Amino acid sequence: MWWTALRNESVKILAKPRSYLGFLAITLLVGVILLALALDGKSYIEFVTSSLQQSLTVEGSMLNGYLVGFIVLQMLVVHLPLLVALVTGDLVSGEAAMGTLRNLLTRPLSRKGLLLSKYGAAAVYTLVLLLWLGIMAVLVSPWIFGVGDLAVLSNEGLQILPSEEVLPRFLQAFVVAFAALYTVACLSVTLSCFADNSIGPIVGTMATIMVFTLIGTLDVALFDQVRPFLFTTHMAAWRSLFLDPVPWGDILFSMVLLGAHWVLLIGIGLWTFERKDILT
Amino acid sequence: MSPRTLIPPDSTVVKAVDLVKDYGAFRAVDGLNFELKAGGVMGFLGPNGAGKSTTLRMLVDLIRPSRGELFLFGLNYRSHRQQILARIGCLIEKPDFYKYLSALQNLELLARASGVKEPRLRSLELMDFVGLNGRENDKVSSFSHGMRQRLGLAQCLLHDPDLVVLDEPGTGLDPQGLIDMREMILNLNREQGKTILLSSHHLSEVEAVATDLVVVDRGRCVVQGSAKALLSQSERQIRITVGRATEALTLLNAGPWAGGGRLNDRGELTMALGREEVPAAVQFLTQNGFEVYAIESRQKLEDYYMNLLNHHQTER
Repeated sequence: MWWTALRNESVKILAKPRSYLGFLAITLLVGVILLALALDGKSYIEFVTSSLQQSLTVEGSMLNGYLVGFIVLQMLVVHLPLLVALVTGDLVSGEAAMGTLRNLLTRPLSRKGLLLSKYGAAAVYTLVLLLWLGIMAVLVSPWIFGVGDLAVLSNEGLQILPSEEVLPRFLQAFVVAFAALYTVACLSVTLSCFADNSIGPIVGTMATIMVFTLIGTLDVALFDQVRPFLFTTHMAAWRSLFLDPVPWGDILFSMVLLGAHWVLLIGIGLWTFERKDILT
Repeated sequence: MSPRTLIPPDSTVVKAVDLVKDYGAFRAVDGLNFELKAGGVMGFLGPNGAGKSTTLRMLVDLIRPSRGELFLFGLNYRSHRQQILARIGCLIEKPDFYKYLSALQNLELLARASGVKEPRLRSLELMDFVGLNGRENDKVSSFSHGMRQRLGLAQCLLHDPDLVVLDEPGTGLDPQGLIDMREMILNLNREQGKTILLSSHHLSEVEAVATDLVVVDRGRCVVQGSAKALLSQSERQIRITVGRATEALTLLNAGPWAGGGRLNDRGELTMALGREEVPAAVQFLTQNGFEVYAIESRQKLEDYYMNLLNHHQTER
């Protein structure tokens, strides 16, 4: 029955025009970035590497499809939470507002099973959205700009990854990025269990991200203890996959922490939904 | 659909015992008791705010009772939720569907959620039953209210339930739609053997189909019994068509028939009178200058219901 419920949820997501906004937004944004870099990418690279130009000489061009893909990811991963929350924040509360939750909850399916199918559908949507970004960043960019070694700026300085190592690292980076984005999806579905309209959970999710990001950014001793445990601190953990050596310990910590958020948020959602009176 | 046991005739399908539902400090249902036997059509009546919708929502587990017990087919939701819901179909308040899906897609989706083995076939069969054949692929957003009501009835029959709970199925229907809905309810009960719980403000529709009645007010059961027995016990109503009905009612209330009369929703004077009292009442009215145009003796659910509630509210 869970698979049937998951199928039903997927049918609904596919049929909703709102679901395609994210794909449209990604396509437009990536298109703008690719166009800008194709027209004036050299100046951009010179600007970014201006501090290093006195200490090293670069022969040839650092601008290639892999670097463009990396830039695209870096620029867009911050926008993805909103695109994810737009759809996942509506999964329960949107149905409550429409009145269709009544129809679903009077079927011989457990409330737990129904809600888990919604968390499952949220995972599928997040994954497909991320894959679309991946296709645009890692397949379209090299097709336009060609491939080559990837130069990444880090705290250690400029690191060069040989081109044959880049694709596997992108793949691993997407896994970590998925873990972070799915935490956002879980947060919005959980908030959705408390509401009877879809605006609240979407705004609530974005507000939580903003507050947590602020706490993570402010250099205040009071926040030092909590900062490592906020999921927003680990939203950019995927970037560590492009360091040499890869800080696997940090990445493992990020993954465990994000996984703990999934469990906590899904647990809160199930507890709430099991006891929710359907009044709409 | 999973195989299930047949319900023996006269077995109890619904049993509510001291059912209570509180919303904060407000008590919507206050110790409600009633029973529904298999094979009947129960009219579930009460004024707005009486706790009908809350009770129906508790019956289909959309709302959890604050106290009391609810048994359906002898089982309760705490331990047998899925088994119970596999045997109940419901249309609660208004029929809501996914507007971006077609009527058939909506039914198929709900059929799959109900565990129906051939969702498409069953959905098409029910669209035909409710008279929506030919509109299968139209988006629900293009449907009129009456068509949505019909689709609402179809969705509650997808898994061939034993008990059908209908909350205001006639709302917004035109006269032909009301007649069709009545026919479908009678068909479900008499031809298909389904037990029906029907809540409606259309008393004439309830009267046409109900075998049993439950009247609730302020969250409590005012009366329960077979429709026939309750109506036959009730006082015969005399409907008097009289000029200046409001003034006539005031006069009667100040005289020997105080509290016995009321105005119905068409502005006609109705009174609970014994046969022998009719000439005196008519004489009283004419002597006081009122013109009496018609006298009709009847025993209607509407009169019974209004009198019952008037007495109940006066007592409280």
